[in-house]
Amino acid sequence: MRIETNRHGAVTVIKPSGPVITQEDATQLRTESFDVLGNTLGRFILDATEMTFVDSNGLEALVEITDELGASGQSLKLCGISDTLREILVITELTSKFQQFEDVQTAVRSFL
Amino acid sequence: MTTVKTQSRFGIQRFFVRGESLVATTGMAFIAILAFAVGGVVWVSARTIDESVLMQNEERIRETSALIASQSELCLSDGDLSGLRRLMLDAVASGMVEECEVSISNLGVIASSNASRTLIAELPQTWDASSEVSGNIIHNAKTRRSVIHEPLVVDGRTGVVLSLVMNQSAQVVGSDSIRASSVGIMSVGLILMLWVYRRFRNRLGALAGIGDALAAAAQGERRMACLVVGENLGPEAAIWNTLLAEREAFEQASVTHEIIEASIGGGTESTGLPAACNTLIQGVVLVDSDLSVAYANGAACVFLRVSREEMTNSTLDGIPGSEPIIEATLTVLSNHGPTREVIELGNVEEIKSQGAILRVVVTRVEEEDMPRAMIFIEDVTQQRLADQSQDAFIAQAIHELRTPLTTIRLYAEEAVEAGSDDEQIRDKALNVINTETRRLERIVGDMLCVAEIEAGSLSIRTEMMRTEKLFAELEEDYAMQAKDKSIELVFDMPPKFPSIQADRDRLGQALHNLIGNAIKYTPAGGRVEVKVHFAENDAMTVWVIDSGIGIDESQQERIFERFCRADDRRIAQVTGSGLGLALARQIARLHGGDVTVESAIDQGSTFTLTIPGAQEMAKAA
Repeated sequence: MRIETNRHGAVTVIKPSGPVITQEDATQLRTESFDVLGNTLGRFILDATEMTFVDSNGLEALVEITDELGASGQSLKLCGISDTLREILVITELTSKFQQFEDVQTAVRSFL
Repeated sequence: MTTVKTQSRFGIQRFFVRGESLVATTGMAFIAILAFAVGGVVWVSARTIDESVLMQNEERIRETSALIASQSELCLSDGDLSGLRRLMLDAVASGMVEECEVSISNLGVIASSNASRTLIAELPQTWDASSEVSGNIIHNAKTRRSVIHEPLVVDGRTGVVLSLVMNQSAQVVGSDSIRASSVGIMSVGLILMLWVYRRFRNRLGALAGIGDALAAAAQGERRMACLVVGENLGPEAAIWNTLLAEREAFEQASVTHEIIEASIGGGTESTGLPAACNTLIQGVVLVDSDLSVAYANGAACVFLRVSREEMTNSTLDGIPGSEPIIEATLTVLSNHGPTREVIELGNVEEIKSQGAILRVVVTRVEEEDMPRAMIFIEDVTQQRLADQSQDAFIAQAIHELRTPLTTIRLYAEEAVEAGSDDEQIRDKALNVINTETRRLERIVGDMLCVAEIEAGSLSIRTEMMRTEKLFAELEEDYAMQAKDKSIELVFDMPPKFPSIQADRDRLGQALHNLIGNAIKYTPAGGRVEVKVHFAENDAMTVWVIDSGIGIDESQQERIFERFCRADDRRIAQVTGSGLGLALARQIARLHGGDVTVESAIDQGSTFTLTIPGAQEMAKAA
């Protein structure tokens, strides 16, 4: 799995490419996200446009990230999630743990 | 624990204690009644057996006595005294009777089985036959013997009596033993039962009491006073009461902990006011007059980059970089200072290096003899960056508007001065004014578009349109500009232009921005090519290819953001609002298409605008 990191103003966007289906993928996503979280005080978006699939490892990582943000009253902002990922979140009843946006721009604007 | 025991001992047991089970007592009573009933049945049965045996015994006695009596009468009729005496001995020897004798009234015994008895030597010829002797049977329960007196008639004479002493039947003795053994067994059973009851009464009571308490708990009862069982009911009761006491102590500790947390802050609160404060994205810190932190929520810890433990157990002095906050706090806490201070930490320049801008509001909280300061911290980094971009946009927009306006004013003055004398100068001036006016119109259009995007109300009105005229106007508009800049502008048009479904004005706006950008960022001597292709389904693809400065790969997605321009010093030298590409992409996407870029530094860029065919556009809508 490849992870791109971009800055949109003061907001950092992490964009994983490919499925998050192994423990290594989840660890990589978690580590990268926690690093960004620590540096940006939570001004952080996960662009899931190219995150094609997430298994339990990936879901666990996402929940850990949003829980970490929850300590400061925030939650993980997801954008561009596919129908598959949306369905997974609905089935696992995790939808309410995340903020969802259509695209990166809308998600970035939510920090205003 | 001590409190609970005291309560149960003096407060609860006096009125109601679980564990005095009715089960054991009722069971005991039932078993006792059953035992007495069984005993009664056994007793009545034994008595019935006794009576039956007695009746049989009496019949046997009567038969035996009648037999001996008839034999005795025969012997007496024959005068055979020795035979009579032998009969007596034989009767005893046969076991039929214990004692046996024949006596004559007023004369004495003439024959007896008892050798010690004094007998009349000879059978008298006569005796007093007048005396009437009645027969009877006397049962002696004590000695278990029956005495039978049977009158004999000898040759029609009475006065002779046969006396027999017989044992009662063995069965009578047997029924007595049954009775005795059953009573004994019942007695032993009752004693054993009493022993078991005494031994297990308390423990059964404890189990029953715990059962009652569990049933009450299932109904929602949680008061310990209603769930406790008597402590004198054994180890089970003691363990149960201990568990209840531990649970109550735990609950009390939880409540105490929550209250402490709510009042002084810190820890990992999960309920109450601290939990509510932790859902705030603004940092909240309550500081005492000595600058010690009384409470801080999660966001405050994140903003000040300290852990919750460090925050709770420290003063503001111990938090790195908090000097401005301390200064504002001391100002607010001083009696004569303002009660509210607002400061900002950080600046926009630091944002690129992961810096942040924090807006800190410190307010004074008046409490008895001890003023406190409440500090609110908010991350306004993105807002400040947006403000800066907006400011830059306004400055740029003013510049963009002023440039054509200035040009228009100068050429208008020139046209007025030329008047009707120099038509060539006047026509040139009017052409420039026309061009600059259209440029001005586009800028205003872009700004209006931005406003619509900001409001989320940007929309398109599609209709069937032909694009030849649109591209002809674009070529005409930019030909002069390209020529002025010595750029080769090439429009590679298809032989046929089918009609497409699109918003003409918006599509023109997007293409203006793409072509205008290409000319703007291509140095003199460069080349800009506009290539158009229509697919079979009438989907239109427009490539705007330039040989300009190019865009670094890391910047290629950013340039489509509003107010964003690539980080390149050569771009900074060119005026631009940072809106054109964002608008172009937004317009293309509203049509169901997109704008993408392929570029490399110093190798030019290719922007591709796609507009789907009418059918695909309808599906996308």
